[in-house]
Amino acid sequence: MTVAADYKNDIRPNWCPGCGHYGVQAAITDALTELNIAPEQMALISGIGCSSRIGGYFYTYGSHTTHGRALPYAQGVKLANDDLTVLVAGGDGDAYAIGVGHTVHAIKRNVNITYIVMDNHVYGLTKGQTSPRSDIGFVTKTSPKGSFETPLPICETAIASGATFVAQSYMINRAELVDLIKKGIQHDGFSFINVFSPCVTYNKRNSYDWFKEHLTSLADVDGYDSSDRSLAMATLHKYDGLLTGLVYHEDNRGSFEEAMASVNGAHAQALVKTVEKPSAELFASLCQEFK
Amino acid sequence: MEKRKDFIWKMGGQQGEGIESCGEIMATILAKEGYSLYSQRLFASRIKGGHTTFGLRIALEPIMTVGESVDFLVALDQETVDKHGDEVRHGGYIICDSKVKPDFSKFDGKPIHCLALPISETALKQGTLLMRNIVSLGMSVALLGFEKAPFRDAIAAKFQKKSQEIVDKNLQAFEDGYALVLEQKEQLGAEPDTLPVPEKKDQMFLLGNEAIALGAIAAGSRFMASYPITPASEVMEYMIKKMDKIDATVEQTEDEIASCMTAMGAAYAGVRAFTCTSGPGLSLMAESLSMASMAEIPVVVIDVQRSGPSTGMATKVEQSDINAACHNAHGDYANIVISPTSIEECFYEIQKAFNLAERYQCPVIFMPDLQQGLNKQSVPSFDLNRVPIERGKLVKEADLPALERPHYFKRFELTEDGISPRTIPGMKNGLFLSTGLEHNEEGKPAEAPSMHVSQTDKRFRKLETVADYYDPFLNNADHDACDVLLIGIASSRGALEEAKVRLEADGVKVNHLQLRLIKPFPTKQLLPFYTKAKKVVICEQNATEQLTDMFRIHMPDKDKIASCLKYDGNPFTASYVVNAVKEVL
Repeated sequence: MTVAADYKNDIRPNWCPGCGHYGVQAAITDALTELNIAPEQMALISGIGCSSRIGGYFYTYGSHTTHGRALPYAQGVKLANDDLTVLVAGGDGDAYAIGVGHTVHAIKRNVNITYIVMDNHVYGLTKGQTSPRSDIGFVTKTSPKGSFETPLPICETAIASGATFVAQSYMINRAELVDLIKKGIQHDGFSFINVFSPCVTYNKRNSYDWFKEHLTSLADVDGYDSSDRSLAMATLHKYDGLLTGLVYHEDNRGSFEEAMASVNGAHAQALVKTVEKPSAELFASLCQEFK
Repeated sequence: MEKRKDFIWKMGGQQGEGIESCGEIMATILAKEGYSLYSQRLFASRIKGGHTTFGLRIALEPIMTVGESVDFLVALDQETVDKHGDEVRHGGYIICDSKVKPDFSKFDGKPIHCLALPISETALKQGTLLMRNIVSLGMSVALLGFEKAPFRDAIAAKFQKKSQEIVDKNLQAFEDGYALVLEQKEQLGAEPDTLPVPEKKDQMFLLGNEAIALGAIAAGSRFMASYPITPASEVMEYMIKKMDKIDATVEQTEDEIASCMTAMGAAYAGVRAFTCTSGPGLSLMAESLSMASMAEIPVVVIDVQRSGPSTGMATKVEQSDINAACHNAHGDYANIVISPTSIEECFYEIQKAFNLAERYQCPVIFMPDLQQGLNKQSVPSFDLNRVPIERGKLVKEADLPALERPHYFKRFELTEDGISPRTIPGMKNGLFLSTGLEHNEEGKPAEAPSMHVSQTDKRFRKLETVADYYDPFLNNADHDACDVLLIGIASSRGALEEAKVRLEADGVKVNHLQLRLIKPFPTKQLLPFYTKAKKVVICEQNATEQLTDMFRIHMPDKDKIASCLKYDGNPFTASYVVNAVKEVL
């Protein structure tokens, strides 16, 4: 059995005191512990930003990549070694600005990995600029008179992109978040989890109090059914996206890996297990077509 | 009279008229018969319409270029005669549709035989103009004096899937074309020379892009992530077509950034992974490659070079990505850049690219050019085992000593040769952190000035032995000292080899090296040839002397360096090189 300490290394996070990301880190640790995932069987892939430093704060395999490109990298890791649990983590700038194309395609492609976005509506590592999730009127260094672009409705975007697992949580809701991360890892396909994680330094607007006041748990929405796509869209719209819980899931689609296997046959084992030359017979049959 | 050793046959018309498929039939059969072939497709970057030609050099001995003077030009339309008539040699033949009017005054007074025949009418006898290509094939076979039978078999095989009626009609069109030429042979004035039938050879006839894909498979790679682009798509298309057979995963990503990052993720995870693109894609991959250099990820990126900058001329050849391949990524970028000198080498050298990537733990850019990627050549059948798989310092899981948390495996250990032992995710006791940040030996972020210096030095120190490990050029130098040292890369090899022969005939002593290793630059290995040459002429297909500049940076006696540039989108010819060399002498 793994215990929380198994995932701890000796690196002190560069996050500010009070940063929401500590809570996300703790929730991920709980989920990994409860699922009993061995550190060496885990790859935590991240992009660039405050939250993307998280890959370095776990005692697992971790890769801290380029800004916005963690998802394609992570899909490569998973497709090369299906035995690994692949978790991707980053922030809203990484996921919804520079990397949004990859986000939409990763959702559509449905490779069996889990994506946790720490959404604080602001750029922190570059010291306070507006993000695609910033509220209208939010004052930052690059929106001194208030942000005037409409924030990206991210759960709706995910569902519209063909997501098979969409969840949203608030890092303060520890039990809910741990449960969603576990469900996401166990989901067969791409699981997308947007987590509100306040930035105490550069976002005084969307503060802990603000989230507490504005968020509604889906558990409190009468008759909510997370397998009903239209209802999910309508509810998100009604609550301006400020919901927490399992928003939508579709369990029968099958992952990218399964879809590919249905066309080309399944791999007998993870690709990484056999890096060798093709058999002489196979190679001869390939060459024969050019003779 | 000296017997001919080769012929050049060229057919032209509009895209969509079956020019290429006609050429394919011709080439496939002649390859089986044992002829050595080099084909060249010229086409516009559009789906249908637009001028196109298919050139085929048919020889008894192996050839490396499509050559220059055409012996037989088959023209389905006026444009073909207008554009290519002047390529026909003295005593060559033009076979065209009777509606086409060659303007002989433009041909420089060369005595050319012309056969204007009712190609369209003959095709229409079978009910469709679409069969003009098969009529032309029949005509060509008659004129070149080949046996009919294998061509009949090939036509039957090609159309068998459609219906027997279509097979019969095509066979009739072929026979009618054949007969047309036989009836008119006296009109020709002179009987065309024919080639003797060669001995059968164990050979293949394929695109450079197909040779690359086969090479990647032979290297044990079963993972590719790529994005379509001319002239590189065939590599991905082949890999996807064979995915089930070779038990591979091939992903068409959303863009080239994703291709490169996906391949990098897979390489980090321990498979041999690659992506394939052309110039615009290589530009998009720049930031990712910089990370691959920093995080020491063994990824292979193929850049089938086309004409640039920007979208440039997507269907034309250039060798203008040399600077980009070496330097497009930011920072002190440690990578390896190699280039194959033939279609056969596309198969063998790509395997070495994978070995280099894993041995030196860095991105390897493999750079053929469009001329190699998109043209077919007959090559000796490939040897699966000539290039063994070498995985460098990849550690076996069982050999790893116990690791105690919070320590990590020293994946970036500062070793004497600069190459560190490598583990991959999943290995117990192999845990390390991977990051694009500067890092210490365990991969933990580290900004201490001394660590950045040590790690930077390590990343470059490891490349110091590349030129000793990897054969840096094709050696076609048979003189101790020479008047001219000719240097080329990628597809120019054939033109340079033939230029050497012609110059030697004129009494010029020529050595020729076709460069394979571009970065790190093989100064030490080049020096013996370089110092004993009076002049060094660097032939490259770009306007900005990209390869020549590398010689100026890395070699002494810069005064003896001259460049022979070509950037009109068409490949080098021997005459072009000969003229350039004579100007330098």
